[in-house]
Amino acid sequence: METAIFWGLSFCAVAAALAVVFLRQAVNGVMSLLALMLVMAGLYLLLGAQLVALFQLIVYAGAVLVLFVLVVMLLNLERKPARPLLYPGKPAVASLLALCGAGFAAILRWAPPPGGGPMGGAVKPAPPIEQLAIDLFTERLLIFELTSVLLLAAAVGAIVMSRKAGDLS
Amino acid sequence: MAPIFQDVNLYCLLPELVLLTGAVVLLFVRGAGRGSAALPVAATTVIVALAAVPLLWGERAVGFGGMIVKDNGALLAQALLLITALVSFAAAADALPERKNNGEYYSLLLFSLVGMGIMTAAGDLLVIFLGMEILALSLYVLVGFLKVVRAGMEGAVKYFLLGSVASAVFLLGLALTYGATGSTQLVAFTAPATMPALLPAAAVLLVVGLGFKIAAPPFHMWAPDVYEGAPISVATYISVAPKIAAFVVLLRLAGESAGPGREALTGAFVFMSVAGMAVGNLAALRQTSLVRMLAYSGIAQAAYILIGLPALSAGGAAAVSFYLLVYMFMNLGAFASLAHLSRRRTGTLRIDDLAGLASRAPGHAFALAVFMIALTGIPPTGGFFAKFYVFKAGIQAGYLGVVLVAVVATVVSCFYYLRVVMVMYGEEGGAGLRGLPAGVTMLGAAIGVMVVMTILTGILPERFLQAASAAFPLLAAGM
Repeated sequence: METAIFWGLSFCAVAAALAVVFLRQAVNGVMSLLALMLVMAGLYLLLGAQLVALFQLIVYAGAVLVLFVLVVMLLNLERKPARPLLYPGKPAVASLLALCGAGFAAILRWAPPPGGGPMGGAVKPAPPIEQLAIDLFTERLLIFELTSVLLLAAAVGAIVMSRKAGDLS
Repeated sequence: MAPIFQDVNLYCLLPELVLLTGAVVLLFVRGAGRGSAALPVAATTVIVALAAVPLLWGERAVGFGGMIVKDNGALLAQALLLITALVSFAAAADALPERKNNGEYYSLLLFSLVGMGIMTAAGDLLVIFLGMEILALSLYVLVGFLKVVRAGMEGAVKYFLLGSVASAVFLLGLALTYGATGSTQLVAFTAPATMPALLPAAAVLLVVGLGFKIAAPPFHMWAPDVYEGAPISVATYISVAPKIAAFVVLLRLAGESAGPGREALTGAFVFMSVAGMAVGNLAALRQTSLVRMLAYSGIAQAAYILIGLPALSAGGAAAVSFYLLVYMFMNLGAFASLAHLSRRRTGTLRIDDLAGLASRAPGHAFALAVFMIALTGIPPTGGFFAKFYVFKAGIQAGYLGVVLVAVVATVVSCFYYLRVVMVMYGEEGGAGLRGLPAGVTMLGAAIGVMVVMTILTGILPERFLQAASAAFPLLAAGM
């Protein structure tokens, strides 16, 4: 049963990802991205990572995607004449991607995960949130703090970039 | 039962904490032009951080459960990075507009130094990734800092898009490593993996992410556009600092790897090295713009350094760090010399513009000539011994073919490096460029020091090589 759900969700994820790339209307692309996010949340749930799934829904589907839709609305894109789906270079890129995919498939084929199933064995019970928090603030304290430095640098950069060119202060 | 993390060793992050404090303080520095306190504050911060390096030297401070390992190799890299930053400060005085408040410029530069300090000292792939991202985000903005320059914005966007992809690829490699070994620690590379088949793929993906930082083909596309579009002080910095940091990470990765992961790494290094020598040198031949020529030359130089990485068993680590040291002196010098020449110019600085510089500014022309000769690899400059040691390590480790390609590439490189010297000394006319003004200036002093060090590393190479191999004792001992 789980295997069936896994393959179903994976198929949806790949289809949605391809739709993001290939759909010509920006709004359609954003909506496909939303579908992708939801499917990903489902995959996380299947792995027993309820918290990650929840964050995926709240942060990506809830906040980031809304921002995307807003930007698409603000840009007020016009309906462009349909261009051919296959522009020169796309077959090359597509074949390269197919090659990469085949490589990964081969690796997984040769080295089946210990559990045998596509998810590497039985689903582990999710750790309680308390344990997650303890991990975050003890073992991975440095990583947590470095992320804050990264965000600070990003904030400074965003302010520099969004200031008007002629603004001197 | 409150669990308290026992290993919060802030001492091992002392230079980074100093830099971070400076970066935050700089955000509050007001004022523009000559009266601005931004440059003095930034320079003081870097010098204080530099002073922390001898303090930590030889202590091998380990913190945060092995996530930070501030050994001598990390400290040596950090010292080089901080010196690079100081030279780029000297160049920034000419490159940045005077009426603008440049506090954020220096702040972002210090942020990138924090990121690189963490990268070079990390014992954990996740920490390396975060350091890389801190570095990358600051650099994206610095490239487009002068927003009125269209080429700068173009370069920044290209750098951002390609850099994001490279980061994502690195992250995928990290995830595969975790899948293969169950740990993100670097030492896990040597441990027997639960899924060894994943390790080669993981290693190659990690190298792709780092190969972008050193502009090794086929991940070099951004370099010429970014160097040319960025303010010259930023180009000075990008052409040296991220390469040093990425090479130190690559050294650690190559030193920790074993088994199938190691073979994949070696193959990737050899491929990138040969491709870099071919692409860098052949493309540099065709350039008319000086900065673009130096960008392709940087790609070729990184390819020479890459020879040392598969040759760790033959003293490759010492050769690589010696090359990085010399590369820093000669490349910083070359870019710093251009910084003054290209100031207040709207167009690009072409090689032909240099004609007659030797008669107008003999000192300046001499300095630029020394750097070009060093980059070619002609004695008595450090460039010769840098190449010599790397080639020697390559031959001893059995990579004769790669070294032969490198020798041919070096001969090709004579054409474009020495053409600059010929134009400066042999031709008249040009664009009437002025050399540095008489008297002691910060940039002049920086260029002078670089000239002296470039020649000194060529006269006393053994001294520097010993210092370099002392910095990487574990790797130098032969893995």
